[in-house]
Amino acid sequence: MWSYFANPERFDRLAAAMLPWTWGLTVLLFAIGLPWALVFSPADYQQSETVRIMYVHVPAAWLAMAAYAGLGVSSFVYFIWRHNLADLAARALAPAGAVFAFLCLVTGALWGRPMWGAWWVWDARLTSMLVLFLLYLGYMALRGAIEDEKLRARAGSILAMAGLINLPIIKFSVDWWNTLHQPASVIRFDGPTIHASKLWPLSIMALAFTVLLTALVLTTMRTMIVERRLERLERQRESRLEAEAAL
Amino acid sequence: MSAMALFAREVRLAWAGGGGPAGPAAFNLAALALAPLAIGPDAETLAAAGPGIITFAALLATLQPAERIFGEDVADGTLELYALSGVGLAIASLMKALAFTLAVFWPLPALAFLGGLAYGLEPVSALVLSAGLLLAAPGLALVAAFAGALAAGLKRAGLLIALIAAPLQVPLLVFAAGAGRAAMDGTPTVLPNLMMAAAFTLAALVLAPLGAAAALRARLE
Amino acid sequence: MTEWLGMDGYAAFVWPAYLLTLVCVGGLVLHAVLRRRATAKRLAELEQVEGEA
Repeated sequence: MWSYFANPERFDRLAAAMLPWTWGLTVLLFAIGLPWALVFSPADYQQSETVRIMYVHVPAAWLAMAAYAGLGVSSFVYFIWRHNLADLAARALAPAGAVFAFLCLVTGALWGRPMWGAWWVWDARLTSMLVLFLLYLGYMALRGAIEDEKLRARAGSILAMAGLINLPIIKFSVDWWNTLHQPASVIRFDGPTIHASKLWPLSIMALAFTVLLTALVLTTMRTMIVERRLERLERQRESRLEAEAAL
Repeated sequence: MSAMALFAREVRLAWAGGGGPAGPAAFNLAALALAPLAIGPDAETLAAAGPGIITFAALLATLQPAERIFGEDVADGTLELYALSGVGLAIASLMKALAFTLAVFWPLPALAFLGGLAYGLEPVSALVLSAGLLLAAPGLALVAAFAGALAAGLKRAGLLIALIAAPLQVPLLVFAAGAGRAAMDGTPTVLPNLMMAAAFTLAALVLAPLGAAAALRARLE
Repeated sequence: MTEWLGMDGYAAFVWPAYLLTLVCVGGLVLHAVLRRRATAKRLAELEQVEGEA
């Protein structure tokens, strides 16, 4: 399967066909999710209107983690099979994931201030999100520091895989530390405990963010394929011009 | 070259080269001396912050020389020799990191004990903290070595190493400091914390050399 | 409407959270779109130059 999609032209055609639908679905989902989150969903009896922050905070957290999982998996695929598309996916995912981690941290602070009385609480999940943010920064800094394209991709993939081993620690750190933060209440083995009136808008917002990330990554990957072609063409042109000048 | 011979050679080199254990030890000491000047002389606050500051200072000390672990090998071609030596890059990385732990980082647990006393911990608590660092130090060194292998020979490698290694060292930091804190508070979680620190060092023992070897191999191609 | 904007006294927290989300998500989308356009433009220019040569 990998080698089938590893062909950049085939991928580009597929992505081009998918993208209008993906962007369209993103707009549709936000058009439903945003009013639901901001207007129609009820205020919480304890948290009042601040619960509305959840509809952006939780999806941002999910996406920051999902993007890192995607980064780790595509790095693995690149590391083993050396498919360039997997490296492109990793490159496209990293900055987006970092932005979502950042968004999660700041919205967490904005939610924490009225609820806990503090902008920042050193609880397990906020802290692991901070660590995840640092992982993203380290990954991007490493890639930025290496000039050789192949080495950059290889080193990046190794670091992303090492970081992926850290993700379970982030997920289960809820159990390790036990502080003020409410335990993860959406996904549990005995089913969701969050009330349906909030679960629906939350699910739709989470889906909207996820489809948005998909659209974003596909678009960026397509751009990167063109950029590669551009660089090749420019190199060819330069060497041709040099050859002509030498004549 | 056998793995043991490699280990012995690396211990000698790490001991003699670049100031050996003096650099990280002095760095650790400076961090321990400066923190109270920032926090204030209140004995209770210092004791409460002690295990954390001491472990954190040790973590920083393991990052400080990490650039050296592989930087010179990449620069002077020793890396090719290791790759051809038949020991394998993974075993070579493991031996280098362990040699580094033994030759360069050995003062860190001792400093943790002295630092614990200076910060007002009971001798038993300081000893537990020291044991925590003894268990965590090889893991910290291995993660630092992994980051060092990724960043070897790059511009501003030191900064990169810190940024790469720090998040990966988080579990070791948590449990080494956690052991010291538990001993200080009298909570019965000293042993679990120590065992978790040991577990993460063991995990690093397996994974970090593989990662470092992969990073070094990428350089040779 | 005013009541809704007031967010039960938590307007100072809810709206900045959504505003920041807009800035972050909008920034990502804008960056992706502008990058795509710039690349397409560069490619078109290069192809034109090459076509003349």
